[in-house]
Amino acid sequence: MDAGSSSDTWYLILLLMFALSFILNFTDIPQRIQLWRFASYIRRRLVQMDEIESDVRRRLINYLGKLNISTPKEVVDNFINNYFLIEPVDIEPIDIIKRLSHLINVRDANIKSYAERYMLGVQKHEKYNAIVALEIASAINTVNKILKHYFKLGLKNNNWVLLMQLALEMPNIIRIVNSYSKALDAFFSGTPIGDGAGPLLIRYLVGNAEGKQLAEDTVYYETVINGRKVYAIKAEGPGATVGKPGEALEKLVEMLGGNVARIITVDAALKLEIEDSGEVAEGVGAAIGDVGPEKIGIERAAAKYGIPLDAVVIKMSLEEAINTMTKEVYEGVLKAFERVKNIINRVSEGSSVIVVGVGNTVGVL
Amino acid sequence: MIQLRNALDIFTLIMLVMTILLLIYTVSVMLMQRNKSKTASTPKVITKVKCVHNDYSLEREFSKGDYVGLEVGKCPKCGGVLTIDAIYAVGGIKEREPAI
Repeated sequence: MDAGSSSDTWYLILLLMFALSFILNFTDIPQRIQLWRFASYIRRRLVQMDEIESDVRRRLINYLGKLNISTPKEVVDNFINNYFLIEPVDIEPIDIIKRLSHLINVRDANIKSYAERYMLGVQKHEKYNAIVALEIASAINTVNKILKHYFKLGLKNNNWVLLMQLALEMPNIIRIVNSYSKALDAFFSGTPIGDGAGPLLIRYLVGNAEGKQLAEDTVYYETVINGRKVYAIKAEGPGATVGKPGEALEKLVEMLGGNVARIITVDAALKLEIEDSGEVAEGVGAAIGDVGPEKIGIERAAAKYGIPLDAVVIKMSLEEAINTMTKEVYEGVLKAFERVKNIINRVSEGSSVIVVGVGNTVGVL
Repeated sequence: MIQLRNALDIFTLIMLVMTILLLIYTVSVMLMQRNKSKTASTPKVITKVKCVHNDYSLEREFSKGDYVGLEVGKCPKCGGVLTIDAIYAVGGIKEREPAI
């Protein structure tokens, strides 16, 4: 090899390294490359989102067709994009719960009226399951639209930070959307879901007792456990509904003139990554994942008469909460059942206790 | 001249090692992706039927129309009412452990 030509090669390599270093440190080219990489990654994920959304639509249309609905596609298309809720004014907090509750009631009534119009002759519990399935399809459509909005905004403004954030969040968002897509099967077949842990516990507490209507889609049962009078509240099953446990509890406490020794709320709770599914924990407060009206109803009823308020939660992941109840969660319900019985036994004999099973009662009578 | 040849050899060696490392990385990422896709499977849904007198129970596969609290017949042992006691899924949702 000639020494002169090889030293030229080294000079060339050195020059290239300097040029590369300049480009990397003093231009926007690396960011542009990252933008291109993130955009290409997000584009692939958005295709996946579109596939999930069209699959959900297809399955939902099939399901509605099986319920003998003549225009299932129309039912789905008219539902998605509509029935949003504008939150009430919060810079003036007076009456905000009353206003929010009113808006939620109006939205619920509108959705039920929509279902009545299109689902003539469909049984109540199947109608409720179909409404939840429509809500899932609508939620997936909204998420897809928001993702596309931020993607286009990022590209339009060359905002590589926005695209990077979106790209980093995409796997988690896809995972959650996939869980919602799978959850449709539970509502189509009417199997209990993880979130139904509270209502299932109530079913075990009251056996085959008949429920009495207390609020919209919400019933209460009376039973006696070891000499203590137990009133149990849950949503009316087996259709997919969460009922109005707060309103029902307020009514029941008033009915009993505040003569209640203890209120126990039971609900599913999202677990931390290090916790096991089906773990049971006990604490104080209203165990309910609610936007406001129902939770405050429970707290107000307890505070008005100074009734101790206990919370028993069954831990699970988001996937488990919205899909068919897993064996681990079911075993958690049995553990929570024993825990609730222990709390009831701590109350003096002859007293009254109210147990509220919070959650979606799909698949549980 | 000998020194230059040695220098070039080292350069080639470094490039070779980097290429091999890149190949190993690519193959390992592909294998990890393949393992990830194996975690999901279809869950089996079980319906647990129990006598109200607690002397008989059986587990069968879920069938459409089942719900907890539904009366499904008479107990073969005591003639009591058989009701659906639980419905739950076995297998299916497997959480992926984070790669460290």
